[in-house]
Amino acid sequence: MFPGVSFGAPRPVAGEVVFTTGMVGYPEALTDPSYLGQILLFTYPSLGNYGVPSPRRQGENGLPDRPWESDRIHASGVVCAAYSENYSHHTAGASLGAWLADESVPGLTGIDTRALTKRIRTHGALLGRIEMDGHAVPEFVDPNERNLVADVSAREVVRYGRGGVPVVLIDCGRKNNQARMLVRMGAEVIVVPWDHDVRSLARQCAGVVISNGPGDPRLAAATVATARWLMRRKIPILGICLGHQLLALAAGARTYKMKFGHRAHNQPCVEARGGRCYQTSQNHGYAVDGASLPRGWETWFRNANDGSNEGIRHHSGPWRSVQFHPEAAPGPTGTEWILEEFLEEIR
Amino acid sequence: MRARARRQPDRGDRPMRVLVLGSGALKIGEAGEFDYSGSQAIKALKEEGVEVWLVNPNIATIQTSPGLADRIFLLPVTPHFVSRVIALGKPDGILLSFGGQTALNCGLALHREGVLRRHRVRVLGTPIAAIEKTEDRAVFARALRSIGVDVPRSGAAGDVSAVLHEARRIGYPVMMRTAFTLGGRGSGIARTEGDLRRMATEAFTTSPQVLVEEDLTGWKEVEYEVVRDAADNCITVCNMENVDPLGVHTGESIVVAPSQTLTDEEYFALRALAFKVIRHFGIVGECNIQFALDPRSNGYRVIEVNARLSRSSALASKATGYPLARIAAKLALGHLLPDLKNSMNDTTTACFEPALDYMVVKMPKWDLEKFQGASHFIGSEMKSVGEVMAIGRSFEEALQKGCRMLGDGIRGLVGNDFNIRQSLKDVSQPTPRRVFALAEALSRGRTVADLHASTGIDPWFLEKMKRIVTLRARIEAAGRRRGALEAGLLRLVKQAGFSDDQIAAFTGRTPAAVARRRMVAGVVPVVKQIDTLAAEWPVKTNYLYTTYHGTEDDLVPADGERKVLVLGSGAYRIGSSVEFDWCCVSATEALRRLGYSPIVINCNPETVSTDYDMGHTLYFEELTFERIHDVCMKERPLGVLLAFGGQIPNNHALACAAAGIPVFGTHPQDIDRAEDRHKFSSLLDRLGVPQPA
Repeated sequence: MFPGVSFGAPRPVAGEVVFTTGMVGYPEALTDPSYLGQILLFTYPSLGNYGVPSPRRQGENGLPDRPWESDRIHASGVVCAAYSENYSHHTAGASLGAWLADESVPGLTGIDTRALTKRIRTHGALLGRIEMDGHAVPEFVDPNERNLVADVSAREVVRYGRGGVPVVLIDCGRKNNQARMLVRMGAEVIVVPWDHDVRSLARQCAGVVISNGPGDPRLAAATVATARWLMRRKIPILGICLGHQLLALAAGARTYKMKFGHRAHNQPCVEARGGRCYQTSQNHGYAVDGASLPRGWETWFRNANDGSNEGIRHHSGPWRSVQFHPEAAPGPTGTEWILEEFLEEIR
Repeated sequence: MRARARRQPDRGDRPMRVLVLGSGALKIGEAGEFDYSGSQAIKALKEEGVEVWLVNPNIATIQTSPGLADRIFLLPVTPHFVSRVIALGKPDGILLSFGGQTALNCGLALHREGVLRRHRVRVLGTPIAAIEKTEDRAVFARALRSIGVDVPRSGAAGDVSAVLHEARRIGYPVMMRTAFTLGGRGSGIARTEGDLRRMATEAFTTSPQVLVEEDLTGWKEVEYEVVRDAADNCITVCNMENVDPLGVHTGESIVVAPSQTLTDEEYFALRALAFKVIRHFGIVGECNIQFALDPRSNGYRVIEVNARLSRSSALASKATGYPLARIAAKLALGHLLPDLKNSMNDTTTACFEPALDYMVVKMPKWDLEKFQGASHFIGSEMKSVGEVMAIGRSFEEALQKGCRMLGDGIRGLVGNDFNIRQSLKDVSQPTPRRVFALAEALSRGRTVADLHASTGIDPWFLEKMKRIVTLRARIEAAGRRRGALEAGLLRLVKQAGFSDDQIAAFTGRTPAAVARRRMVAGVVPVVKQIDTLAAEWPVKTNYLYTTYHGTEDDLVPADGERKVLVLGSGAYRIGSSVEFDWCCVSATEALRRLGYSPIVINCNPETVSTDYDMGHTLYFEELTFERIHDVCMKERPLGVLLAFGGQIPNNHALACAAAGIPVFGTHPQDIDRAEDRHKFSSLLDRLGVPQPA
């Protein structure tokens, strides 16, 4: 029990409590669909410093401008040590609290977030709830028991950046910056739902990107089946985050739930060939078991801290994936070349 | 785009004997931080089995103490003397980046004079060519423009029409500066061509040349500490934001780490630029890069690059727990970042960017009163003689701690007795006391918008100051009511960094009574660790701070150890400097040898005593009685040593004794008799010792 002060929406909520150690980028993180069903604790104590932009501008190619990674907040709740009511930035139009209230998401501040983070580190990601005086106490819920991908995926096919190299983006809970960057790099991005029948599109597209998304990858069986079909057709695939886990499952590897996952802007990933180390942005609770990779596949990246798998690629086929976010937003840039190289090869 | 080339460092080519250049005598702008970076570098080299020779004439430093370097030359860091040492020792490598500008300049001269080539001494780390490029402003600006990095637009002109031409090229408004005149006379902002024509015409009556620069008034100043290895792996260890906007030297500004008002996009865009710059120059080791950031757009300018350890890097090391100097020394020997471990836990890699779950506020320490006739205005030139660093889990907490760390009886941001000596009507000119003037102005009803307009300080910081002012009013009102102070309000003001002393003054109670009430109400600080990874990984080190934003201590202090508390000296000031750091470090070493566990309290980031890997428990904290008492409650030391930190610890002798904390060494009453002028004088009278009238 960590008693604190409420901000945002005055509403109790239950979910899986996870922490992120990123020090900036709360609008990006909160709109990242991968946080669906989770109560997100920010270890950086002061939250809300630069407010949130408003109104939302539709930027180039019909995609919303940064920092909007989707059209709403996906985290169930927000926890921090010292919420900053005052905010200051030339782009700011509202406070974080006002935005949370608008989207019916509760915030909890004034608690010992470091103590709670250490609990999660010791016991693993925990089920938790934000309770509120005068409100019924919600039941604990484990969001990972259902297929969260179906909740956040696009409902229909949408095209961005007409006229470029056609790339299908299977939306398992995509972050907008994946589409933004692909378009900027010269792709026409065709966003499709997670369980979309891509057979008709496959003939027109040069390659397929499988996006990030929430929850247990084994529950998104339709996308795994799609990936298998694409591989039989020798169609190039790039997986990102959940897309990485889905590609690994399609290849015949195993995934597992991590103790408390990687949610940070400073996960060091070493490229197996060459030994180059990249600072990466991450948000995942499941991982690929690197030891379970079938013949023909190799480790592309591994985590320099805990040795976990951070990327795989096929020896001869045009298939590869990374656990981290080459599109950043939030988090460090520096691995955009993964998208660039993919486009280069399928062009 | 991906940098594919990967140069393998030449590991067989490890130097056997390395010459390290120190920074010489302490001076304004070059102080104890270089003892810290030099000492760390020497330790890192010794770990690698390298023989270390050191040139540094400063006897008050740790690095010149026996036991660190193999040979120490107490000689001036000048080409004349250093070339003789080189001729004598024939070192195969030299480190130039650990002794400030003095060492760098000396190294550049040795290179130009051909001394290094003649004796086959390799410059380890950043190559000389890169240092030269960053030191020459014109070359530097050209180099950055060539890779598409923005630098401030500027030009020099010899007549009025040339001035107008430059201004048209740059775009209005422009800043016009006259060359070769004292105190920047005739400088100013011109918004129109008419203005500029008038100003330039007048300027040319006294000066043969004027400089026209784009006007960056009010831009944010943000620094990044960047590390690169020989295989091109890059990390930013820390970013820092100046509370004062551009125009105040970063050494003269209150600085907060990490940045507080930057979005994710801004934070990582500047980081990417920093990498672009450090890669272009080919720096190997550590580098500091300063940006101006437009608060109204995404515009930025690179204003400076320091291809060496600096005061900012010492601050960044202490602020994050990442040992920059140690890592830079290892990289200079050819190690790669992914091969080195994070010394906080010995498990994770050193190739990472620290995540903070607290913030730090650095405050400069000036001693301008000690210089007769010195102007108390501060600006683009460094006048501060030291600095303090405060750690907290809110800006308010860290800011008020930082104010107290400056000493001089300062109680916090508010509630001080001293004369602010600044017109509250005009706070636009920065002075050492402006931050207090701002608080006073806010309490008299000036608005944040108004103060932002006249100072350029971001409203975020001003709002936090206003919150402190508001909380002061609340606690004052509570003090006027009968009965005990309410626990909730007490916690709130403690979280905003108020000391018992401040609360006592605002409520008409004694500090002891406030402390007692706090204990009863359960409002006590907790001890947290600095671990570089925001609790994601367990750590072994004892690098600690206290905060009221918490309910649980990170550590259960070990029982059964014979602990002794050693108090540091706080900020450097005129008359109290790196020598007290030497005293503290020597005392802790002696304690360890005798089987005691030393605990150090200090708040000066430019010191070796605040290095977390010195083998003592470190509280990076205020040297106030309240905090000393807090630490004693947590740690239960056998007693306190306060003879090694100069004046500040001595002043707490009587209070410690009264609180039942044993003071080792000279009896507190005897310390008091020596420190208190009246008591001392009457003692001399009693002993019949003559004294000056």
